Amino acid sequence: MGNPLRPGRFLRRALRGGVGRAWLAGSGVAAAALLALALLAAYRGATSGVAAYVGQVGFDLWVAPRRIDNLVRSAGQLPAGAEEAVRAIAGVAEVGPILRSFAAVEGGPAGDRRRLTLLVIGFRGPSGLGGPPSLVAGHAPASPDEIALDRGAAHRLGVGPGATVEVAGDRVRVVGITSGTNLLATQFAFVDLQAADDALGAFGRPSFLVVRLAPGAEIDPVKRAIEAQVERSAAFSRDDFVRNNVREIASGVLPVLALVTVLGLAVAVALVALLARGLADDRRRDAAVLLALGASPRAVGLGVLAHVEKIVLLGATAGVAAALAASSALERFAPTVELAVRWNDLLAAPAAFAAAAALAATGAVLRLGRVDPVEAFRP
Amino acid sequence: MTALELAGVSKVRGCGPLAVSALRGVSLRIDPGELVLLEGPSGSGKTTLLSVAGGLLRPDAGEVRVGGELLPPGDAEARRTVRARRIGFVFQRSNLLPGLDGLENVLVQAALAGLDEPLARRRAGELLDAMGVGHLAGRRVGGLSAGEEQRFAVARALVHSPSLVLADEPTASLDSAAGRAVVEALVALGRDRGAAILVATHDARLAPFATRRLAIVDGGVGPARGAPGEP
Repeated sequence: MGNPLRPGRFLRRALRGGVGRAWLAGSGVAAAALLALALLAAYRGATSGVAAYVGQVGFDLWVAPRRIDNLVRSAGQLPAGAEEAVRAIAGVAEVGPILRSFAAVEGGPAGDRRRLTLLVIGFRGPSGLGGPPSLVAGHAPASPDEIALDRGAAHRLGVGPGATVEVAGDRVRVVGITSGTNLLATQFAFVDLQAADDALGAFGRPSFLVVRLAPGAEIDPVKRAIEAQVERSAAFSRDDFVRNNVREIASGVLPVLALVTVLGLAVAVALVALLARGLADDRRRDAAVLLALGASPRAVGLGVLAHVEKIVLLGATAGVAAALAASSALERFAPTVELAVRWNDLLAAPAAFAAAAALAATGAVLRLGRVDPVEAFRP
Repeated sequence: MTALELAGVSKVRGCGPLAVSALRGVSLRIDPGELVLLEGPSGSGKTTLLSVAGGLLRPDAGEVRVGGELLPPGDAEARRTVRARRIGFVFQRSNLLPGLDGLENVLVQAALAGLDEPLARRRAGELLDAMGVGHLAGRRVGGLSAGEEQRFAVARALVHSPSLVLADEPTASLDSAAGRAVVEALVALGRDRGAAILVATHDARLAPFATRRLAIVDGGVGPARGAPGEP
């Protein structure tokens, strides 16, 4: 057997359109892919922010007032004495009370004061259960006049460690900057439990209790014991509590995200359809010549489809690269929005765009395959 | 073996009140090595006859055979296969593909005919050298003159050693010298390879090269005026 020349390698190049049009279409696809990925990453950032906090290692159980199952959207307090009652249960190694509320935080240089409403967590600092999941600078608050701020919030307020901010009118010093604490719509701040109790007038009634189990202790018996011992309370495993909080974040963000992602995809599909249509119109004569020379309509159609797919995949790959670059740049220079870029999203985006492109190009490709080869004779 | 045989071929173009009988019971045989000119005014059906002979259009009646192979009217795929292997085309414009260079334009036809790559490249190189454009093989189509483009088109039509070459006004877009060079090359290289050549043309300068001159009038084909045996 010899080594026959394959027509496909010539057809694909023969049916390419102008470089300018390909660049424009590829850039449009890249922009649409970047938009979709950025939105997805912002959503992931928000959900991973809440998961990073409530899902910390050592937070084996969350105890909440009955009928409250999440931290993000809740208002309620456990009875006074709940902490002691839980600590006395067999299998409990450590208990951390948490007071949670929204509070206005004001800071920044004189003449440029800024104000943010943050989700303030009062915990028994600096090392008690309930503190921030990670610190990128400084340390957790250890006294009533100290606060640790999410890095996005600190960036927006224009403050860093050592600066002074006002929380509900009280001046406190920023001693730490936290990460993994950005919920997109708001951010976390961490203060001393006593300071939060004084400000809220909670009189020792925490919003939640975080429980670390003793080695070997099983979750379910401890959970049942807590609910029996602490009046009007509900206990949740870490996984359940994380799931509940992600649900609350998603319910606010997902519809908007889905809408904009669909719009982005629609723009990309329209661009691809336009590209394929333009190619079909532009290369009609070349298609007629190829069909006259004996190329199959299928091969001509596949040639155009391959070209369209190539542009879309290159565009989507450029979008992926831009999303990675944007994520890295935002993290470094503007951590206000936390983009959590996931590899499965990066792989799924080009695949989704390629599938959309194939659909969008189908009509044009079919039309090209039906060109009358006699057109090749027209001068 | 006859290179081209048309037996009782009829073809109506258009439909309804605009329908025109372009070919009426045309019968024609062309042997290998022949150069046959097909003359006639614009709209007389020359291109229709070339299209039917090349399997681009299916006849409404009659049979077409190329190199002894039937072009089945109801089987577009079979006609395409015969076209790719047994027929070469030279169009009025070169119709080279602008995305490819000169050599690749020739190799396209070789690939469609299923030639092995080494054979295809050897034949393409020989043809391009014989046409005097071997040194331009790697040049993009946009960088070639009209005459050079048409020489590449002739090489494309011959690279797969077809039984039949169909040429539609191949000199119409060329100046006198370029047109003559293209026709001389087409005739010499085509005959060397045993191909029959059917040329639809108005160009009287081609007459000296022809073995026969035919005219198409009112859908029928007969000897052209001034051809041997005609007044």
